[in-house]
Amino acid sequence: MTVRITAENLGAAYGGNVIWKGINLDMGEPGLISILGPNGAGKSTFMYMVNKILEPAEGRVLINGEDIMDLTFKDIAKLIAYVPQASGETFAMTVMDTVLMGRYPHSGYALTEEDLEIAADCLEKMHMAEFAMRNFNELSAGQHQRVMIARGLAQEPELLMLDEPTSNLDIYHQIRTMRLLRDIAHQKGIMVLVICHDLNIAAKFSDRIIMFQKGSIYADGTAAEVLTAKTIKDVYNVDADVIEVKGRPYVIYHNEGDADERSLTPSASPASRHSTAWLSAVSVVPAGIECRAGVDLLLVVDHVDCDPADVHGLHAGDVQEMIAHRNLDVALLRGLDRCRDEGGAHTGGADSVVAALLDDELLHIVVHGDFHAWAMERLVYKRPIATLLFDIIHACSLSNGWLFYFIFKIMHLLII
Amino acid sequence: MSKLKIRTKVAELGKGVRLSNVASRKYRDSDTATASQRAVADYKAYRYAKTLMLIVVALLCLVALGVDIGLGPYHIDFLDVYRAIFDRLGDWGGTMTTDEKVVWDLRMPRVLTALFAGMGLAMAGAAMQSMMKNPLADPYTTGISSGAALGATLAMTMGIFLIPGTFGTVVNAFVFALIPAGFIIAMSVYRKPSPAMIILSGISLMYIFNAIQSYLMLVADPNAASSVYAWTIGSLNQASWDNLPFIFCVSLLGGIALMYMARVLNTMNSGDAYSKSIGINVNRARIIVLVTISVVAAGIVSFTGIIGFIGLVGPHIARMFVGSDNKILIPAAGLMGAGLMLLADCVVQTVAETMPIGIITSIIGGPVFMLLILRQKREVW
Repeated sequence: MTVRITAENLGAAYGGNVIWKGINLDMGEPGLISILGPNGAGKSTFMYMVNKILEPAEGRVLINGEDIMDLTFKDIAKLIAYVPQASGETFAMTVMDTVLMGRYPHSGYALTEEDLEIAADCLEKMHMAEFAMRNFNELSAGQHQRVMIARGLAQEPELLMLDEPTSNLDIYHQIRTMRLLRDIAHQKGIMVLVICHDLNIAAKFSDRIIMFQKGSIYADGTAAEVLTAKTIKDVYNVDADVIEVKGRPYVIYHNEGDADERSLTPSASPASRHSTAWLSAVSVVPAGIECRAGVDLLLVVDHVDCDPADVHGLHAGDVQEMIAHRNLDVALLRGLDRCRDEGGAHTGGADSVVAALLDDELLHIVVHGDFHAWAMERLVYKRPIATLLFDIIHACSLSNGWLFYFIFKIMHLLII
Repeated sequence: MSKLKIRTKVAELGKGVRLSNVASRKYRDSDTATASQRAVADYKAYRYAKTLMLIVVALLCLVALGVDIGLGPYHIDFLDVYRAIFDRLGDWGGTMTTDEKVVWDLRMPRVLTALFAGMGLAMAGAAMQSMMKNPLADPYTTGISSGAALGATLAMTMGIFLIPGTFGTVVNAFVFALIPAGFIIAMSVYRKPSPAMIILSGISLMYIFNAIQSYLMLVADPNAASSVYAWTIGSLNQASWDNLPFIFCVSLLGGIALMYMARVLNTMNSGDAYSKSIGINVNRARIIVLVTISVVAAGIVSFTGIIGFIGLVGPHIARMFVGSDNKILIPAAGLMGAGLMLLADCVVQTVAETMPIGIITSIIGGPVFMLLILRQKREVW
């Protein structure tokens, strides 16, 4: 029923750069096949090779035993359909005209009744038949994608290839699209080849997963065989646990990124770190407060009536140690309320930490109140002016002592 | 009937695209039709409406033809024009009445040249825009106009003819106008002819040709220079029964070739990768379309000079009414281009007999296009 595609010792190169070589692959069973792999591993390149859009640098691709270089584009088009990533077009036609483009390999110059019916059926299968007369550019991204898939189906292929169909869709549409593709593969008995980035969605719906790594294929098999913690660590350099949910693997990512590739440049001591950022913040997590690892920004959320002279509890030296130990540049500090006891007295902890940090000039900016959500959106050291204004406004809401202290600190910073 | 009224009528017909709504309403009301059956019915009604629109515009062009022939110092009534044409066709060898002489010997060549030139330029422009995926492309984008101008300048100022004789200037202009296409074909051996490469090579050739032509104009004697300038503006003064067959063949055959490539042009809009996957040899198709456009544009330009605006805006006006499907767009653009040229020629005949038509197409066409842009509500590009 379906076509057999064999890649023999395939190699790809752009210009002089070799993308991968020595790929041997055999695809012949109907079902949903996902191609996974890091960016730049050559997944799209592999798809282009199967379709003769790109010519192989070495090796060959066989379709039902025939070398694709001997087949014309039209012969291949009758067997293999390619669905590019959805995007708006310069001169958009109606949805029906767009889907009818897919009938090119099978139809002559004039469209027959059969062509129209097949195109309409494909649209209905994708639940887009009501949109048949709408202009293509009026649709949303999810609808674009469905029309593109309908266009691919209108070619009546044995192999349907989709290049990242779910990359720009919301979760509902990602799941819906993959489920639709799986159902199409099973109902029509064709192969559907999908490049996907979401490991869990690929695991949930695929019959077979091919994992690309830079330069070769790392693994090839069912989802349970391919998706293991070791594979994910080797291929993506991400720590993860893999559990089983309803018979399928489910990947749970750990929060730590790769410690060597931080977006913020770490430096040995907090002081030098602060000197690189105009407004820097302190990373400290007092006991009892959980901090999410990998969080980029810390703003100390403090209370208005904190007495800066109240210094007890954590010392600045402890803070530095914590910074080094946790390897944080910054972390979000919240819930300072918990540092007060029922009487409202300072219990030490965050308030004294703040004071101590101010004293030791490790703390440069104090943000009042519950604006951590605002702050989380903005990295302080990227928007010094905006944050400064914000802080001045809020300094005014603080008591006078703080205000003067605050202004003094700002001027101190400015002069430095 | 004033020409502006014709234009407004066509614009109103554009709203009659909702003919498709009327036609398909019976399917929408039926409960038994599935969504896909309704989609097929809607689509058929839509195509029907578009074809109807094409026929109506063609009829309007015929009417404009009749009106245009009638205008001039010797005024002939609209019906008398057609009577003269048919009488003459019926009685070819006999003596001609004054009406018939004026219509056949004086005016028909000019009007038919305008018709076919407009048709060819607009069809070439529509194909160029679709191929380049660029709404600002026109048939001269690859450097045809500067090539033709250079050829004409060489002939008129320096007396350099490739083939001496009455058609000297024409042949010069034609051959030089085809140099950019030849250049791109030669380059395609080394580099893939992507839209960007074609446009950039066209621009580079345009600069080269313009520079040479400017120099020639500088050193030429003023009479020759001014006749070259008049040539470049674009006029129908060269129209005659001897020239007409060439323009007719070039426009018609080129137009048919472009209509045949309509599906390919539709698919190229979605990108090269998709076009290859659907079975089109993209590089070869692009070269074929480019050569067709070049021959059509060069053929027209070498007789009429450089008539601007029709190739750029004719397709856009057509797009507003019939959408972007090239199967309908290219013939519609041809009809719109023909209509625009006839309209411009009418203006020339009534207002300023000696003014070159190139100026009129731009002066009238600009505001008409602006009006249509302001009035249209759908997004077409």
